[in-house]
Amino acid sequence: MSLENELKELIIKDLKLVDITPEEIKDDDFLFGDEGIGLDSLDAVELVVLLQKHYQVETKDLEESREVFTSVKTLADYVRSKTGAA
Amino acid sequence: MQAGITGLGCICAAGDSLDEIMPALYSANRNPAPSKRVEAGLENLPPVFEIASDLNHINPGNDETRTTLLLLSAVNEALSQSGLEADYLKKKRVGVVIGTTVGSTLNNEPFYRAYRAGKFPDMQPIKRYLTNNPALYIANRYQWDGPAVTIANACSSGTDAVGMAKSWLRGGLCDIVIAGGSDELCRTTYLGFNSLLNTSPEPCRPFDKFRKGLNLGEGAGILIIEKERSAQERGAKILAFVAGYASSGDAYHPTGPHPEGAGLSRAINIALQEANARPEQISFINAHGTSTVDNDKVEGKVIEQIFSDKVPFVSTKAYTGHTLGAAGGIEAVLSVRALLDGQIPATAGFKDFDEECKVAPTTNNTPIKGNMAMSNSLAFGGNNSVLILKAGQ
Amino acid sequence: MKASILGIGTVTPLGCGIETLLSGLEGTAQPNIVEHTVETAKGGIALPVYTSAAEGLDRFIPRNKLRRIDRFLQMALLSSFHAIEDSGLNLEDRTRIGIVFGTGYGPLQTSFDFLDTLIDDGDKCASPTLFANSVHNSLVSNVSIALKLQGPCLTLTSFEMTSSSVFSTASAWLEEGKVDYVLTGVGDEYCEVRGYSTILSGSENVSAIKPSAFNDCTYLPGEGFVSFLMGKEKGRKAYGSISSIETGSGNPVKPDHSALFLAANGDRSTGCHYDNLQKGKDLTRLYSPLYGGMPAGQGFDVAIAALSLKDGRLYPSPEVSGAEQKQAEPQIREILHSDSIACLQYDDNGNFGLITLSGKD
Repeated sequence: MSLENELKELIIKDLKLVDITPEEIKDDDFLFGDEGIGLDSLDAVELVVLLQKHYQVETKDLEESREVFTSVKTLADYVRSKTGAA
Repeated sequence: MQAGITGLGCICAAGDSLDEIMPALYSANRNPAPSKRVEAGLENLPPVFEIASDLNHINPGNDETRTTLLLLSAVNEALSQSGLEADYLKKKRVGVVIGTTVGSTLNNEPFYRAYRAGKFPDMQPIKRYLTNNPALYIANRYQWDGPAVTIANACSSGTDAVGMAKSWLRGGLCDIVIAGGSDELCRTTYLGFNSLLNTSPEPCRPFDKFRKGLNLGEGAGILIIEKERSAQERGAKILAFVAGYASSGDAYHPTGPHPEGAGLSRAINIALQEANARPEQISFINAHGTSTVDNDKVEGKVIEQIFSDKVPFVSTKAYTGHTLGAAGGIEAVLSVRALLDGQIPATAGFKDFDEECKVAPTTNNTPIKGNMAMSNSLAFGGNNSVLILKAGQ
Repeated sequence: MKASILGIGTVTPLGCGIETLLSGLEGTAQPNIVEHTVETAKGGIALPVYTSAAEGLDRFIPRNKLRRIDRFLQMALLSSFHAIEDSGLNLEDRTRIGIVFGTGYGPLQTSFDFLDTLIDDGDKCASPTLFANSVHNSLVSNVSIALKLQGPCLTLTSFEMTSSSVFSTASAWLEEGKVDYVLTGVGDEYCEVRGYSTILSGSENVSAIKPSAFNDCTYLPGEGFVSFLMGKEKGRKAYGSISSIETGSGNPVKPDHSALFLAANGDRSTGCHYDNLQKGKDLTRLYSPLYGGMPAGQGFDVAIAALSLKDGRLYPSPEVSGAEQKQAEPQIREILHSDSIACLQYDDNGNFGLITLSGKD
């Protein structure tokens, strides 16, 4: 499974999203705000835990990492850059 | 009916009593550091404002929680200042209202780890939890039979406790109230706030442009509040009055404040009304000022809207850290002392003006005019509570 | 003091909504009691648990808004929606509606779920969402957000003294004019650790709560949440109003009530204080076998008292059924709407909270 798809499944599971399947999330969809899947600030910190728990990737400052949390694609790129995962 | 404050007690990282704490504040003395008691598996341990002592001297030979010991320390100091003797108190109806977070939560980690591991731990930690509900503990210990209530309203609990004391006296529920808050540092809140990414890796900088979050703290702040007339009858000095209290919800988000501070504005205006005061009559504000990005931005904006830049304000969390359920109690106590001292301390850590906050806190010990202080508390879940304290004659 | 009860919502082991509580009182419905096995050093021990579930919450709130809402929060939410619906009121200025909730133990399960995250995955993986929901006031904050209530918000927690302080605060707010209405609620939830501590406190081989056997340990844990919309005007449902609240220790000063509801629940450490009570000429009722043992139990009695005043009838204590049924007060008994009912709860130190309801205007 691609890292992108894996992340989509983890996001749905760990953030307890309902009424949405991994297939419905596009790699470029905005994660936050009304124009995307509509995550909020509490989801953002839960995403930080998700990255730590599943990829041992640490995020210390949300402001500095704002771009990383744009979409599944940016998240996946970030994980790849930190872990060298494919 | 006026609610007169006749005694104050406080313990926090800045000192074990007010006579230690105030000089530390006025000399901008602080020393947040990684905890010596609370261990955490984090690489960079966010500093905290911790009380070094194990507090065992407060009630030797017993099995109280740290929250209870902190509370006892502040209650003893406040009672001693008020001049209230045990015999006198037995004849009066004494109420107790205490804010806390850790003190009301069954989160004993060693017990739970043992339970999870199938080791069938004994009940002592649960019994300790059941006998250490802060307000009930104090009421039972001194055998006072007025109302006893523990408030678990997150970070506004201590402020709400003082507000409730005023309401009890007004409604005739009791003659004297022991009010305030108490909270200990523990792994649950330490790791919890860390997970919310709002703890600062460095000493906090309330309202500073480059602030990085809060430092947790621990402590207790207690006020003895009685009906003005009964305080006068026993010849007690009234230090200050609880002139106004209001609380108002944002109904916005479980952890973030309303971006325009709607609830805080409403609470400040209602509290001013209750105190019969205009904004320009407020001598100073002890801000919630946690040093998180969101809190200070919203609070600064509201302060600017209501008070423009005419009223000096300080965040004493720069010296105590964020003591959660105790914060409102501690800050009310420090506000009364500052009113009596005629000055407020500098907000340690603040250097660079943040345009988003719109206003700047004190940078030096600042003399104050007038006789009214305001103390703000903004809680998790969007509750905003505001106290107005007026110096006694 | 006069704070009218305008609407009631209940999530109890009898079901959701005030009519399910009525069915329980009339004996046409039985509480949902689920048998758990509690592992102890002596092996697995059976423990019947009074279990509640917030069913039908999606009628009030979309499913995607519930994703972070735990079981206990769901109970608080549903009972709150029901209380407002039951009042039939169209609440306009929501800055003038306050909310005061109480809980004996708080969101226990979520507190332990939070600890699970750091025990399982390490301190860096502590869940911020679970932390936010583990604080006692998460009930109030989530309910105030869902219902857009922007008045004062308060959460109180003093074990058995919780309900009396909640109603006392709500009444004070109304009297002081701080609010036009106040949403009041109390509850507790069950979790495994509570089961474990129940067994270790002596509830082995208990099959039913016998609340009037004050010196026996027959405690079984219960859970649920009851909410009340309160205001100053007379409610159209005629639930009556809170006419007085007393707290203290020892024997409460008793006016002539028509009935006295005891929140005794088979817990021996509190039971002895009911046993010492000088009973007056009032009719005594004990309803904990309908909702189970919990520190917030008195709030459930307040709901039953309001229902009794509305209907002008006292329901029998459900303690023992069938062949064992006591002959003393087995039947529904008529009372006057203008009568008063006192609800009494003790803690283990002998402190009491006495909440009196009256149908008098």
